[in-house]
Amino acid sequence: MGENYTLITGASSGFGRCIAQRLAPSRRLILVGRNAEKLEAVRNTCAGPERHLLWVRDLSTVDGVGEELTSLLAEMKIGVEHFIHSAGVLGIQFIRANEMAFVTRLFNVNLFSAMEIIRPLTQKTVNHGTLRSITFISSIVTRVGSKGYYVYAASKGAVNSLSLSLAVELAPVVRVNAVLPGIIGTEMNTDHFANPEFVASVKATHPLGLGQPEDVADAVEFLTSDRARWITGQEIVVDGGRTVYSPPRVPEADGINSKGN
Amino acid sequence: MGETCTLITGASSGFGRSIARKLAPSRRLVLADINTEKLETVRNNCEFPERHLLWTRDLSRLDGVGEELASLLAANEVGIDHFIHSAGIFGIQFARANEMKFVTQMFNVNLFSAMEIIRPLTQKRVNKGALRSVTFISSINSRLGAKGYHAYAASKGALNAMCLSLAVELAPAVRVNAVLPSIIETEMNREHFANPDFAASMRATHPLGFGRPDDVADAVEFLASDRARWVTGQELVVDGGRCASK
Repeated sequence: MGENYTLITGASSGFGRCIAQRLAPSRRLILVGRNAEKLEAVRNTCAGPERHLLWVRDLSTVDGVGEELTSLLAEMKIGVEHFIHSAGVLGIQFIRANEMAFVTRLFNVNLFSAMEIIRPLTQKTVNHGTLRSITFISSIVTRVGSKGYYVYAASKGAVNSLSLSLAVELAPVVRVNAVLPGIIGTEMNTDHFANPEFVASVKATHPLGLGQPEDVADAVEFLTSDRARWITGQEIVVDGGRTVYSPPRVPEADGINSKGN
Repeated sequence: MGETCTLITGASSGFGRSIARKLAPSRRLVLADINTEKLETVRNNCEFPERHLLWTRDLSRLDGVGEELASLLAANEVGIDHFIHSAGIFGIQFARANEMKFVTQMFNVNLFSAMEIIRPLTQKRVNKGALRSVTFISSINSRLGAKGYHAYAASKGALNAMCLSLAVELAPAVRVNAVLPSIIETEMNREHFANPDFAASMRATHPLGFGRPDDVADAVEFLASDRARWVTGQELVVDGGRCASK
């Protein structure tokens, strides 16, 4: 058995790219994305680019994902020690217009591809007991509902429960956790962030203001490291306080009494 | 538009049957499940059997579910005011043996069929704004991990999160909630309960002892009634204290 790698899906943009850049100095990475050029570009911005492998794969089709990963590991004679599932698709759909093609695509990328990746990573014949942690990128939409988000929310709610069930099933060798980010600007939601009203509402509902992809990368780095050796089955919310925030009852009063008492 | 009915999926067994029997005296029901004979039997055990309708449909096959429901409503000139999704399949599968055919079937019944049912129920031209509540039967397995449960847990965790967002999307006219039972003896798990070790561990982990399907039916009846008029987006755990005491 050769070296051990950290596998990061969704590596060509957003949180995945940030996580890759954060971990690259100290680990060997397998960067997964659907666009070879973008993946190369990310690799070139990482420390020690020659150490990292690319796996060009569109996860919206799940067939064959497990088999291809198995072949990749066998060919390269490597194992995967940490799996970070940052691939994700966001989309708005209202239930009166529910359309299964949209639902299937979202679930394939956000959830089912992760199951099919985890399968070989937990098979002794393929990964030789190398796996140590799994970290999912989920979302606070699983805690704070939103119009048009029921499909995205369902896929992330599934991720949360998948995470805690796997934490029990794969203990004690493999720790499994999820990071739930608040609303942070990445390629996935550029439309939203192009709208100044939206940005203003994000600032208004996140007590600590706008977050950055680095905030998520920091949490993921911690969870996937030995410093989190006794943490499993957990949801780490990284949201600047959004999920505990409730707008004030009286518009001007954000303190106890607007008259200064 | 004629009468309004309460639609119950998974009505011929387990929780669904208990819910049907509980609601039958005061409501007109549409009982849905995969097997007509079993549905007939449940209907005959309900009060006022002549007023309840049957919908025989395999929810693991999604194509056409929404359209068929719309046709059923049009043909009978009824609307649906309460939808209770009690259909669910359960199975154990370990992560290292994850098999998408199994996962897909489970997700079709447990989650996607509910989406395809709610679609017509929220369309004005089909259901004429009749819908008032949606109640999902979820599971505490969405909160408590267990070996072999990853796919089942994921399907129920999806229901929980969908419940929350739909509660916001469909407010104020429609309330959306979920009931999360702990393991209760029904047809779906009778073999487990026959095992004395299993039964003993159940007693040890549930401060209030064994639950019954009626415990779930009571919670659903509350959530699907006007007494819960200010309750939406909630997960009601019915587990004899298991989560609190673990």
